Amino acid sequence: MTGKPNNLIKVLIVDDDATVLMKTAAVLEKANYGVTKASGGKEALKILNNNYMPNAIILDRQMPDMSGDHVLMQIRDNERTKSIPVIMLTGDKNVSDVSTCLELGANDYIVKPFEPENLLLRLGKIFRRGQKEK
Amino acid sequence: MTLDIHEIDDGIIQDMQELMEDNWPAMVESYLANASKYIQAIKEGLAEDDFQKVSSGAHPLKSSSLSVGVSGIGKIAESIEVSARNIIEQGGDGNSINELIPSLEEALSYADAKLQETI
Repeated sequence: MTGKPNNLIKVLIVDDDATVLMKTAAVLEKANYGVTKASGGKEALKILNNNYMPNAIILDRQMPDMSGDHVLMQIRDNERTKSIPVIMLTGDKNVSDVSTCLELGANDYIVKPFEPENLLLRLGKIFRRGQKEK
Repeated sequence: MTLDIHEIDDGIIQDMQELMEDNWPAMVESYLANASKYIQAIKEGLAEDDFQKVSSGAHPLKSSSLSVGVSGIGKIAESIEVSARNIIEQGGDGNSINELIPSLEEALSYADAKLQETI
C-alpha cells in the first residue's frame, strides 16, 4: 500500500453496496486511515450533521435513497462541510458523467471497480494539494 | 457480444482474499446475499416494466461482482444496465433483458460454488 498516513486522517466512505463498502474500508484501514462507513446518502448527511468532520469523503454516485450528486450538493451548500475534499465513486466511464461530478464540486473521481493503489494515490494527492494551499 | 457467464478472475479473487484477510468469508457471504437481492430487483422491475428499478438492481450487481472477481455476472449485469438505460431514454420493451435472466441465475449459481471453495 502507498504511504502510511497517520490514523488521525479520517475518511467517510459512502456506498450502498456492502461489498464495495467493505473493500474500500479495508484498503483505507490497511493504509492506516481512520474510517467511518455510511451505507447511503441520508446516513452520510446524518453523520456529517452530527458534528463528525472527516478529512475527506469517498462518495458513491448512484445510491437508491439519495444520489451521490445530491449528497455532494448538500455538502457544498453547508458552510461547515463545504471545504471537505470529496472523491466520487462512479460505475460510469463516460465523459459526461465525469464532467458532472467535477462541475458539482467533486475534487476527483474513481471508476469502479478500482485498484486499491489508485484510490490511495488519488487520496494522497488530495491531501498533498491541501497542505500546499495552507 | 458473447458473454462468458462462467468467467471468473482468479487474480482479483486472490487480491481480495489478501486484502480482506479474516473478513473474506464475511465478504463472500455478503456479496452472495446481495447479488440475489439485486437479481430479484431486476426481475421485479421487468415484471413491472419499471426499467429504473432494473437499472438500479443491475448497477450495484455489476460493480460488486467485478470487485470480487466474478466477471461473468459483472458483464451480464453491465449489459442489463445499458439496455435498461436505453429503454428509459428511447423506449422499447424488456425482451432482450428477459432473455439474459436465465444466464444471470446460472452465472450466480456457478459463482456461488466457486466462491464457496475459497472460504
